[in-house]
Formats: sequence, C-alpha cells, structure tokens
Amino acid sequence: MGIKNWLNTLLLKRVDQSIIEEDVLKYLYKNEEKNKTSNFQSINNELVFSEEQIDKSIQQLIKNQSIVNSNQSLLLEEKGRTTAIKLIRRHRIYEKYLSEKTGFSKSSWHHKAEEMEHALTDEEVNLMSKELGNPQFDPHGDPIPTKDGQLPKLKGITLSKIEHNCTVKVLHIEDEPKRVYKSIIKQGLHIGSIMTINFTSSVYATEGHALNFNKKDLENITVQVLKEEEEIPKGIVRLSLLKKGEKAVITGLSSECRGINRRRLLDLGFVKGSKISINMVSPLSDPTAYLIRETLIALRKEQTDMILIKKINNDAE
Amino acid sequence: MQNNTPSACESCAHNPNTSLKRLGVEVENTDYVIALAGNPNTGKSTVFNNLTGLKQHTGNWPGKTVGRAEGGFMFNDNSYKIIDLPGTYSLMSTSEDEEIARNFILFGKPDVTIIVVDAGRLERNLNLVLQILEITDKAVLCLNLIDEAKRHDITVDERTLSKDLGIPVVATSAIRNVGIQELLKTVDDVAKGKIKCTPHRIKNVPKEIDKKVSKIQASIESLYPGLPNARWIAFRLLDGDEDIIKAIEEGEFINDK
Amino acid sequence: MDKDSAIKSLLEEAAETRWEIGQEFHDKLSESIYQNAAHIADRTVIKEGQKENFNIDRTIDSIVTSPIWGFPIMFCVLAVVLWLTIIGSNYPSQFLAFLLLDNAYEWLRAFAIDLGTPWWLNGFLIDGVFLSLAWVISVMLPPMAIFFPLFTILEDLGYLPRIAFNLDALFRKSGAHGKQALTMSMGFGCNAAGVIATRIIDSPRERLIAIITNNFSLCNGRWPTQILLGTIFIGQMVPDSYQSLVSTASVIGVALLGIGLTFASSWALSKTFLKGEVSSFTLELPPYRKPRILQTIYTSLIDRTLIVLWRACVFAAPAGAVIWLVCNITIGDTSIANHLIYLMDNFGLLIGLNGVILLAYVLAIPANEIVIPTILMLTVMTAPITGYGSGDGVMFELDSLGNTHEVLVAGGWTLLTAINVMLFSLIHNPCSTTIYTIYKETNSVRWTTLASIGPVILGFIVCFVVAQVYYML
Repeated sequence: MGIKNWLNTLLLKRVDQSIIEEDVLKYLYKNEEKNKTSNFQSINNELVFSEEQIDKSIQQLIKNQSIVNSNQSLLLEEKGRTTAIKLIRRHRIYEKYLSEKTGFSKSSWHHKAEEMEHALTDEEVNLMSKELGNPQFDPHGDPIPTKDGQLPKLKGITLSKIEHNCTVKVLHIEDEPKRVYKSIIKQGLHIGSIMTINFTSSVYATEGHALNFNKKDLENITVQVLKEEEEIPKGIVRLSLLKKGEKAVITGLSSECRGINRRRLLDLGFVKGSKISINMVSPLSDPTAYLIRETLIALRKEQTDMILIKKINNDAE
Repeated sequence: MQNNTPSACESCAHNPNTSLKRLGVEVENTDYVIALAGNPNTGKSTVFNNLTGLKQHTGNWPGKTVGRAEGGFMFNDNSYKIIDLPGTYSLMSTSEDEEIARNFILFGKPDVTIIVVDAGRLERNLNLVLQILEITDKAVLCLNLIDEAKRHDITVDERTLSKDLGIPVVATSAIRNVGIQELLKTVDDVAKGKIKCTPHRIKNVPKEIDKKVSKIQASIESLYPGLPNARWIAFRLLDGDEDIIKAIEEGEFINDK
Repeated sequence: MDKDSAIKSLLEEAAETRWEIGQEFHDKLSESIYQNAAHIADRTVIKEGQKENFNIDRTIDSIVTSPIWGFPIMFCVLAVVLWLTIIGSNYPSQFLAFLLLDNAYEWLRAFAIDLGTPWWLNGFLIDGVFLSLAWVISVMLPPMAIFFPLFTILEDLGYLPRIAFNLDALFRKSGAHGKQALTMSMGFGCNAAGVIATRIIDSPRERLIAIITNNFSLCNGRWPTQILLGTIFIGQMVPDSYQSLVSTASVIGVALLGIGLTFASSWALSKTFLKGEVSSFTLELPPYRKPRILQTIYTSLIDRTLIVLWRACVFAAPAGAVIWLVCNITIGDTSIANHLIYLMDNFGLLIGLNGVILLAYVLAIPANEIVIPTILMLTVMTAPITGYGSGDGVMFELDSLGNTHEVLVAGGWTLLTAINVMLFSLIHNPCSTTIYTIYKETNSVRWTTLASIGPVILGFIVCFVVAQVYYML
C-alpha cells in the first residue's frame, strides 16, 4: 500500500491503532461487496501492518462488536459496516474536494484521501460535501455514501465482461492499484464519455481516439451498455482532433474538466452550440489559438481533449 | 420605451457649454456613484479617463486593472464618483477580478452601471451584459469602438439593442471623444430616474431548472421583499456561491431602496 | 417565523435544490446566457460584406507566430529593447551621476561645513542617506524610464500575448504559464515590476511560480556589477583582442544561467511546494491596436517607473544611513563593520567570497545598485591600501577600471572571487523592494519567505561548489 505506511512498519514507528482498525474494516467491507471471504491471512496479505498489529486490531474489533469470527472467516457486524461506510464517504468526498478545489494531480488523489480519511471528522466532511453541492459521485465515478450511510451500488459491468460489439458509457475507473490506474488515464479515457467497442477486432474507441488497453485495464473500467433504441450521440470527437481549416460546433465539456478550469472555459464561451475553428498554432505546436465567439483564445493540448465537438461541413453552415 | 436620443446639440462634442467638469480623484461626498464595467479590451479605461481626466493605464491584456480605480466628475451641477471595475468576461467564476467587480455591483449598489462593450464583438460582450442586468436594473450600455467596428463593416442597430436589453444604448468612440457627452447625459437621466430601465432577464433556461430557480427566487423575495435581483441570487445559490451564502447568513441583502 | 430561521430554511432549500439539479447547473446557465446573447446579436448586428473580421490581424498573426519568423522576430524585438535600454541609459545615467554624485554631493558637504553642523550629522545625512539615494536614482531611473515605456508600447500593440503564445510550450514543460516569458522579461528591467506584472497570469499556481522565480531575471541593478567584474577579471584572462568578446560572453552567460535557473526552479516548485495550488490555463489573444505613444510614455512613467523608484528610495535611504553607521560606530577599538566582516570572513572564504562581500550584500538588501560602491568602501576600510575613497562609510566608485582592479586585489580578490560574486549577484535574495512587493502581491508570509530565503541558500551552495572545484583545479 502506501509508501508511508510501509516506511512506518519498517521503522517500527507507532501507527495509531485506530487507523489499522479502520483499514481492516474497510478491507472487510470491500471484500463483502465482492462476495469474497476474509480472514486473518487475507488481511495480512493486503495490509502493510505487522501481524501483531493486525491481530491486535482484529481482537479489538471483535471485542467492541464491529466484527465477528465465524467459521474461520471474519464478518462485518452492523456497527463495523457503518464505520466502514463512513470511512468510504470521507475518502470519496475528499477525493472530490481535491479534484474540484486543488491542483493536485489525478494520480495523487487516492493516496492523499487514504491518509485524510482517518484524520477528517464527520462534521468537516459534511461541510466539505455541502460546499461541493453534495456530490453523488467521486471523481472516479464511484458513488459517495450519503450522510445517513446509504451507499448506492455502482451500476454497470466491467469492460472485461463485454463480448459483443456495442456502444457504452464509461461510468467508473478504479483507482487501485495505482499502476493500472495510471496506464488507463494515460490512454486518455474519461469518465462519462461514450466508447464504441468492436469486439471482433478488439478495437476500443472514444471521442475519435483509439484506445490500447492491457488485459488488466479492462477489469478496472466499469461501463454501461447503451441500448440500440437509446439515442447514441454520433460524430462527437475531441477538439484536439480538429484540423486547421475545419469548422465545428461544441457539444459539451468532458466531465473530467473540473473546478475552476471548467468554469473558465464556460465563461469564455466554450458552451454547447458555440462555433469554433483553428486560427493559428504556436511555432512549438502547442498551444493552439481558436476562434470562438469573435475572440481568439489559446488552449493547451490537454485542455482540448476535454472539449467535445461535432465537425460541420464547410459549405453548409 | 424610453427616449434616449438627446438633441444633436447636447450630444455634440464641440458644445462650448459643455457641462462636464473633471474632478480627478477628489471624490468624497458625491451625489451619485457610477460603476464602470465591461470585458477586457473594450476601451473601458479610455472611457474612464475621458470622464475623469485621469490617465490610468491599462494595457492590451485581460485582467490588467487588479483592484479598482476611482475618479470623479461634475455634470449638470451634480458630482459623480466613478469606479473603474476590472475587465472580466463573466461574473460567475471565482477569479479575484470577477469577485471585485461582482461585489461592487451587488453590494456597492451604484446609482448607475455603465457597461462598456466592443461594438465589433457584441455577441461575446453580451454575455457579461446579461449577467450584470440580472444584478442591477440601472444601467447604460456604452457601445464603444464604433469606428473600429465600422472599419470592419459592422453596424449595430442601437434602437433594437436598447429595446432588447431594456436599457439605454449610447454609441461612443472614447479614443476620439465621440459620444461621451451623450453618455453623460444618459447616465445623468438614469441616475435621476428620468429614464426608467426594464432590463432583459435571461431567457430559455431549461424548464425543469427554471422552475426550481423560480421557487428559490420566491423564497428570497418573501424574505427580502422588493429585492431587484432575487433571481440572480437564486442562480448563485444554486451554483453554490460561498460569498452569497455568507452574505445571506449575515443579512446583507436587507433592501434599503 | 423569525428572520434567522427563515434564512436558514432558505439556505437549506437552496442546498436541497442544488442537489436535485446536480452538477450541471453552471453549464446549463452559461449555455442559456450565451444563447440569449447570440439571439440578441443576431437581431442587432449587421455585417456588411461577407469578408472575415480579422483580416489584418490574421496576417500579422500568421507572421509573428509562424514557425519560421516567430522566434527571430521575438529575439530581434527583445534585443532592440535591451539595446536601447542599455545604450540609451548610459548618457542620462552619467549626467545624473555628474549632477547628484559629483556636484550636489560636494555642494551639500561644503554647505554643511559652512553651517557648522556636527560631523556625525553630516556623515549620517549626506554620506549615508543622500549618497545612497543619489546612487539608486542615477543608476535605476534612466534604464527604467526607457525600458518600461518600450515594453508598454509592445503591450498596447497586442504583441506581448503573442510572445506568450509562442513560448508557452517551453514554460508548460516546467509547470509554468507562457505569460511568464513576459514577467521574466520585465524582471530584466526590475524584479519588483516583474512581480507586479504577474497579475496578468490568472492561474494561482502559475502566478506564484512566476513571482517566486522572478528574482532569477538579472535586473538592471545587477547588470553593472556583472559588466564591471566580467571586464576587469574575466576579460583579463585572455589576450587584449579577445577581451571584450570574452567579458561580454561571461555577462550573457550569467544572464542565460538565470533563465536556466528560472525554468529549473519553476519546475521544482510546481512539483513540490506548489503542486496543490489550483492551476488553469487561458490565454486570450486580443486584437491588435494602435498604441498612443505619448500617453503610453506618460502613464508608464507614472505607473511603473516612478512607483518602483519611489519604493526603492524608501528602502535605500535608511540603508545608506545604516551603512554609514556600521562603519562609524565603534565597539572597543573597531567599527561594527569590522567586527561583522571578521565574523563572516571564514564562511565567506569557504564559499569563495569574503567577509566584505557578504556584509555588502547584507547592507545592500535594499538595492543591488549600491553593492559595488559598498564593497569598494569596505575594502578600502579594511585592506592595506590607501589613496582611495573618501572615508569610512562613504560609498564610492572609481572611474578607472585599473584602479578598481587594484583595490579589489588588495582586498584579496582572485578570479574565483570575481566569478563567485557574479554568480552570487545572480543567485541571492531579492532586494527589499521586491520582497515587499512579493508580500503585497501574495499576501502570504510563507511564499515571501520562500522567495527570499530560497535563492540565498541556492547561492551559497552554488558558490561553495564552484569554490571547491576551483581549489581542486
């Protein structure tokens, strides 16, 4: 897990007992969701704490009736489940907060939230949630448990289970393990975007981009299959694919465009229905200046991946 | 519709009897307070300098005037204080500039807000104009840079624009001192209530959202009867604007007009 | 229902509704407003002829941002601006020095002697306060009075945003904003002005980066130091015919090192201290406008030159007084200055400098312009050399390069000392005017401290490494 925890173990530094207990509860909850059983060994394999520490925590949790030991497997009691869900709420709200209000990079959110979930109080989290407009999903697409402990299930299926040609909407990208997550975001897959799958030639494409997934990646992406009769938007590509001389209409901003960046772009007229074309490209090939609503605005490549357009025919305006 | 075309003589820049007296920065105890708002690059500061005689520099950059500049002038025996707000594209983001501009128009309650727009880029500029008109109902549109627009073969139908926006429109070319007298006269008329504005309100908000906005707006109005910008405050509440939430908690919107 | 609970229920209702609408609200509202705007514009704007709006602008843009011409044009413009500043400011600088340092100073002293005021008061006011003010004004005013208007004219034209556009890719790689190219260039005139200029960067993280790293742009208070040392020490190493070439190269080398450090420190900051600050990018390219030259000169003088000069004077005056005082107040048998020099000498020598130089840099925090005069004065005060200067605590400069060389060598200077002073002059804390400006702009003790202390530590490290390498050779 986190390097810090690992270092702590290495240096035999005292880790707060309650942190270990909380991590154990969270692990049990996640396993329960996956219908897997948990026991001392599986916890020990997953968490970085010493056997002694884990054992102590389990004894303590059993004692205060958060978990029970039945048939060699550890099961959550109502009390333990409530704590675990609270922990998940803190984690996901904090990730949402990081994504909206700070400049930390995408791949560092999870690690920071892993630390802060033990430090934040419920009150702080509620305040944070209110400020963010009580969001329903975290930036990875995971549902956020409500104040009173309701945790809606994530709908959809993982990409690895899809075995036919179809069009899907990306609902969730799992942020653990970090290496797989990094490989997925490197592909430029965005939550909320539409992806077409040609299973026969195993080609995945989203918003005009072809994606090269590893096998492992597919298990960590959750999608919702769009039905034929539903209106599937067609011809939507990213602004980065617009070429000089072409014209397009903006169809929206990707949900990965967040916080102040999103507001700025909207204020500058990057809204649905605005016409846009390239005016000039920097000599170093990035940024590109776009003509939008009578003004020249330069955007960097990574921003133009967040803006969705539909190209229009030059003659028929 | 109001009549916003004073006689040719009044608006003539060569009028020897010009009633504009520049006051520079001595602006205590003035009769009226004017806010000057607009997009960056609309010649806003030139208008400001024209009115006050100050030489304020703002470059060909967006967001140059951080903070605000103040000046004053006399017109028709009334003293005016004028505040040059930072040039912004919108009032809904969270940048420092926008906050300064927004807070002044909302809490500073200027008697008149002059909105300077670039006649050659009206569409883009209207984004800000429409937002300001949600906040204040006493405004004058200063259609600046008309000569530049003309060079690009762009003309603006001022009459229709004035009708659509519900506020007087004055065409100017501040750099050449064209239209400034007429602007002053119009501002004076609005300040004294001789011209009544019926500002445009944002239309075609998606229905289901609009319904909810109206509900919040009604609650705000029942709390603060006669508040002219309840709808805009409802917008801000639904956008989670911390400043506005705080202001409501502290009872800032008690209507004193 | 009383007011408070009414307010509470209103806010609750709003929060509830906000949750119902979801995250889309801002998007939808922006869309509606732009739709309204488009609708009104359609009804009121009449475009005659079908020609595109920005024809002339487009042509200019395609030249100044072209892959072939973009960079050459940029460098030519920058070279012309710097050339005009450096060459053009020579004459007024000399004139001001003649007026203030040679004539007014002598006249004031003579007048004071006639008046019969006590020597310590004369020393404090005339040798201390007046002299440092005179120095700052004569060195600082002319280049700024030329540089800023030129810069402002480029700004009014609309050319500067195109430079940001051309260079953004370089800055993006170090986590910074293309507009930093301009605040950096402004820093070559004056760091305080460069820091103020960062207001054009609207993203919090990138603006802080630009503020904290501006110090690595060699400001005009430091150019003379570089030129002097480059000429009398570095240039001396080679045959006469190559002297000016080598000394110029050494000065440009230091300036380029500064640019390199700007990129490196920007990158480091964006990955460490500033990684959590919000970052966004927007760069608007405004239409070109004809600048109004006269008004520009007037306003840039008022807005930039005089404000910065005033701040510099406010800090330089007490500095002059302090310099005079430490040289003339004695503890035991020796002056405070001597005590301090003795204290710092070992550390100074360890990093290839000496106690005099370190003390001069401490005393001259208010203005880099007075570093060399202070070093000369302190050297004459402590070194076994006579016939130069006009007394303890009275700063001076020498017209002859040979004499300057002689004084410095008598003070124990070697080639290493000169190289390290050149480096340290680039890499040390910003002047107090700049520090104050950084505080005003960031409103944060934390960032001000980082911007002030960081470069000194880096400077010590660089000088130490250079010194050790030099000793090994």
